Amino acid sequence: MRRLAFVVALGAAACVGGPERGPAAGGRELVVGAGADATPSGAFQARLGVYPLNTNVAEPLVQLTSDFHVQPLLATRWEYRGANTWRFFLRPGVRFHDGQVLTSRAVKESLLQVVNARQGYSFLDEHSFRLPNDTTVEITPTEPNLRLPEQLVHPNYSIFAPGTNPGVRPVGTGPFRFIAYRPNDRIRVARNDSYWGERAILDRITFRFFPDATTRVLALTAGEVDLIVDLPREQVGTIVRRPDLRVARASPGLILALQVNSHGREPHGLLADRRLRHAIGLAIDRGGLVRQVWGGEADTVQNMTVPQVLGAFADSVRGFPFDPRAAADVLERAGWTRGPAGIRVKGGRPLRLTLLANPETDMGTAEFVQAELRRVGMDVTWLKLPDLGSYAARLARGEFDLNLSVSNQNDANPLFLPALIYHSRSTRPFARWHLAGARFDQVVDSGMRVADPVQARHLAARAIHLAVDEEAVLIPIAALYRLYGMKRTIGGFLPHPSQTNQSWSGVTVEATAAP
Amino acid sequence: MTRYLLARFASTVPVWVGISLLAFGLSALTPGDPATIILLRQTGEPPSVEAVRIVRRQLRLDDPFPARYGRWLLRAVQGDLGQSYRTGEPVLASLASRFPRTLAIAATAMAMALAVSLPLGVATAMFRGSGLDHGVRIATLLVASLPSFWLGYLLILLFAVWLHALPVAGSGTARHLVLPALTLAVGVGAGFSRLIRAALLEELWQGYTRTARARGVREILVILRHCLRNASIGLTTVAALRFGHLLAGAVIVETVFAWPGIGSFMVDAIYDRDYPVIQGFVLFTGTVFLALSLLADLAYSWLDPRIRLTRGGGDAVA
Repeated sequence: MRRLAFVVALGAAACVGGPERGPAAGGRELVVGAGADATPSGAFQARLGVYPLNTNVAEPLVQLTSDFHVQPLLATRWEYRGANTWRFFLRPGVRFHDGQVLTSRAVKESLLQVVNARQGYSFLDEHSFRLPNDTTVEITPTEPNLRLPEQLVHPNYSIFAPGTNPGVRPVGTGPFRFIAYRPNDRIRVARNDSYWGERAILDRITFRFFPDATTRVLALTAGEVDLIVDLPREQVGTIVRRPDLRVARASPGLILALQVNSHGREPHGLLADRRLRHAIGLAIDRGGLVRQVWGGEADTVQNMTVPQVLGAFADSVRGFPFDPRAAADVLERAGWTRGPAGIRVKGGRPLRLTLLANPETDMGTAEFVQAELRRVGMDVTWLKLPDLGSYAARLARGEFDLNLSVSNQNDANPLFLPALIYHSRSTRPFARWHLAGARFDQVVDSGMRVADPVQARHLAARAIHLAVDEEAVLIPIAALYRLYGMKRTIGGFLPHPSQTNQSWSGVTVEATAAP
Repeated sequence: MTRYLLARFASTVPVWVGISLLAFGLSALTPGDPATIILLRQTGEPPSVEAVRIVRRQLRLDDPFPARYGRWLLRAVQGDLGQSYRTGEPVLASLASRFPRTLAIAATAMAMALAVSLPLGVATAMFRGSGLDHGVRIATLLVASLPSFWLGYLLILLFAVWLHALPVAGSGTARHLVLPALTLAVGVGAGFSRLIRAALLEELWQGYTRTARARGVREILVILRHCLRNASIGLTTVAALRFGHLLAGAVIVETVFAWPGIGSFMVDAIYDRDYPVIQGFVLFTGTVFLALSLLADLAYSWLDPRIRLTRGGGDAVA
């Protein structure tokens, strides 16, 4: 028995680190339940507390508003100087958490780190930066890219104090300063009392990592955390039934869509026929999907990206109404007639398609799409791939007809997704399967060359109209809400549609009587 | 004894090489390009063809299989399992830094399982056919059938959400250890109690027990002093193998409880096609299995002095 006790004690001793930290006396601490810790993986090591989990310790030159506009942050203003060059004027009097003054050298050093880590998509290299003085930076991308200010809102482009290592101890200018990090466990930050702008209300925030979503919800219901990110929609009911908890929704920042293999090799060449692509667009009941699969936690959408990014021009993308009869007519006209078991046939070939779905995407949507297309006579085989690796491999080889993907809009550049996925000069290995054509390319290229953001939105909307309405290489499905569960004592939390741009400055925690 | 040990150790070498071949071969055969996934994880966006080509060349992924395997095995025997594609850290150091946490869960779970299953097994054997016996057997069958992740959620609900007695998940204090260990212990303990009952029932009617009873030794002492020791030989083998399973199979429990052990590390590695970590993990746990199996063999002679270990690898009963 003594041996047994020893083993138990040994086991316990092996994992003892320190006591569980709760809110400190005399101050307000928020405990956030986040997802898995991405920091130990690859280049995220250099983005500790910044991306994908943004703890507000560092800031970029410009900021993304919740309606996807650009507003000043560390740069008070910026102007286009011609010849593909942007000039940014730095905010005077800003200091890093270690006391160093924000200078143009710090900006160059930080952005070079991004370049060296092969992150970003702004066509920057070591020759892209010119520093006319301590408070001015000129940036010239290596290729025509007038969308730069809209791209620099991404937290990847945050500015750190010179001579510091953001992967170990991020020293930024943000409203919170880094305190401690334990991999796969938590990050702690405290209010920066010397912040250049409006000071944060909270004293401290602890971000705890819970890879399992159900455990995250249980941690909230147990009162161990105050707020959780990425609340699974199936668990919304659990939260709203509790009088002490509530749900917050960010306006959609995620777009669920079918990417079509319009340039596939046999046996994946059927969707080279534009009529089939249109029929697929018409056959899907987006409203039904939102109600039945997403429980109302999504919007129907007919766009490639979140509509706010396109502003007033978003409506120029029409998309596809739900009209299964019209879908059937299109298929009939294309020569696909109903065969045995309701599957359409043409020249003896059944209308069979292969559907891929990102394994990190909701699987209910794939089943719904499969059922909808079956109804108009398309036999869709959904290949359930176990992980991102096998999924990416199939995509790159073009071994699919339809790909259910989720796209994130984390910056203000309306041409981000069109240029990344559907442009012929995209360097992405799977882009060749759904190129949107020469006219589309021209419009995207024009959009990259205009300085006026309104004009860029107009051109982006035109490009997306070509890709969706005319070429149908992309069939939009739904725009998803990001869901947060939290205690009712939490105030001032304004969920940002781009989670990586979430601000924690205005959040408050009301004191509650001990249970 | 020394000769036996050497012979037994030598017999593990081909098994170990076989494990290494499986570890390396299976991960290389799985679909998915690690270079693509590394870049995908780094940037959050699909990588370019050129970037994938550069990373593949850096990682020497285009070399023939025998060359890659030979290089890896040679380094492995020198204690170098390579570097993680994702983190850039040495695999052995990463496994070694996480292993104590998994060992803590496994050891605590094993201790909990034995602490409960021993008295239960003895009691059900002593009162065979009674209501207690039937009740325990049905209960152990039920709990052994529960999936560990579901049991984990139930335990969190009970002890963390309703009773507020233990933390939901995480690590850092001994209290964090209790629920994940208990989740693993329930299934193992249920199996053990049935095993102990069956082994004891066999021993209870042996000649030596009848002799002990005839000499007036009380039934409980007959069981504890005589039967249990003999019954524990089979239990030792099973416990050693189960302990190996606990070390290698705590994957789901570690994910549910956000416990940063080698199991959750392995899950991340599989998703990211981090070959060096997957291969290192399989080799590492395979080596632990072999060591535990060897230790179980050695424990036989301690538990039953009639067993003498011989060079031929067989057991001689004096």
